[in-house]
Amino acid sequence: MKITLRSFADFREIIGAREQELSLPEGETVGGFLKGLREVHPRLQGKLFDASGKIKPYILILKNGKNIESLQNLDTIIAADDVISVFPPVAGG
Amino acid sequence: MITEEEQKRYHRQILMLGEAGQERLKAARVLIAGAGGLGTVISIYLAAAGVGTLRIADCDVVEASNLNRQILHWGGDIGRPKTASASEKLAALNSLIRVEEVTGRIEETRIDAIMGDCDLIVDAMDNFPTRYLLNRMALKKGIPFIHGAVRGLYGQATTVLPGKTPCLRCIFPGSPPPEIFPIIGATCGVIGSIEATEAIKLLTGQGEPLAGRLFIWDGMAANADSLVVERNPACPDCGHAERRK
Repeated sequence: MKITLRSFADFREIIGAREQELSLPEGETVGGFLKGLREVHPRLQGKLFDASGKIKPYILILKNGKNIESLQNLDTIIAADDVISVFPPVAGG
Repeated sequence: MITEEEQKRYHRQILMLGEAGQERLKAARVLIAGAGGLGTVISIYLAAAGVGTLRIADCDVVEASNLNRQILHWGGDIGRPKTASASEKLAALNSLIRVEEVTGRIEETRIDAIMGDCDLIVDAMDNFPTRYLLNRMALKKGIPFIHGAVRGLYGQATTVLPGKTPCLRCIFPGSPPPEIFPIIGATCGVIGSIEATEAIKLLTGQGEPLAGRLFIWDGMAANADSLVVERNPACPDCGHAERRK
């Protein structure tokens, strides 16, 4: 199935594209997808994942505009045509 | 009532806002939470536009390392409270408005006094815990909260309309870790200008607010983008209000 990945800021720099269409196996979860993405882009370790391999809690991961924290978090199932957005919020003023 | 002096001064914006819009700006009371990189940009534009009362809250004094971006604070201001430095310049820019200084930390025990009877909160803070407090106050009072934040050449902004849009906590459930963040002053100019634009639009009823969308500025790639964001029914700050409906 085809999905769209939208990457912002540091993630856009690492992944090399703001938006790209990707093919995923049916039933893939957000967590599985992001781990696969780290294998393709090892620099995501440290930016998206902490030292213990967990996704940093403040990174925004949205499925079709919904934060996955309000869905099933990393167990959220990705469906065909979903848009997954990965955004590192900034805090300075 | 707009005076003849005000008609002249604000002529170029009255052309689009009308005198009624200018009167709304004149009657408005806006809290600008922070007088740093964002707060100085926001307050310059709102003062120049004739927002009647600007209430500027900050707890810091001006340091040399502020001067690359905090454009109301100059070399001679080092060591002065930021509120005093900012209000002096704003008064010189526009003597027709009132600038109120609230010097001290924005915290739970003082928030009601800090807020006063403001119609709108504009976020110019440098940390999420204080932003969450301002977000809760905006929800409690039912007034808009305009969020902005910056780092390096990146920035984000959104407008929270209580009861209508996701609140700040819906969008950002967790706060990024504290840090001495890198920053180019011009990034504060981009995001601060967007926040000031949002404030003027909300106060005068012009245009469509940045509601339910997170504006994202990527200065590295010179791209502006936005994400549609939704409410979280389980949000600890606004979720219970939703459940009551």
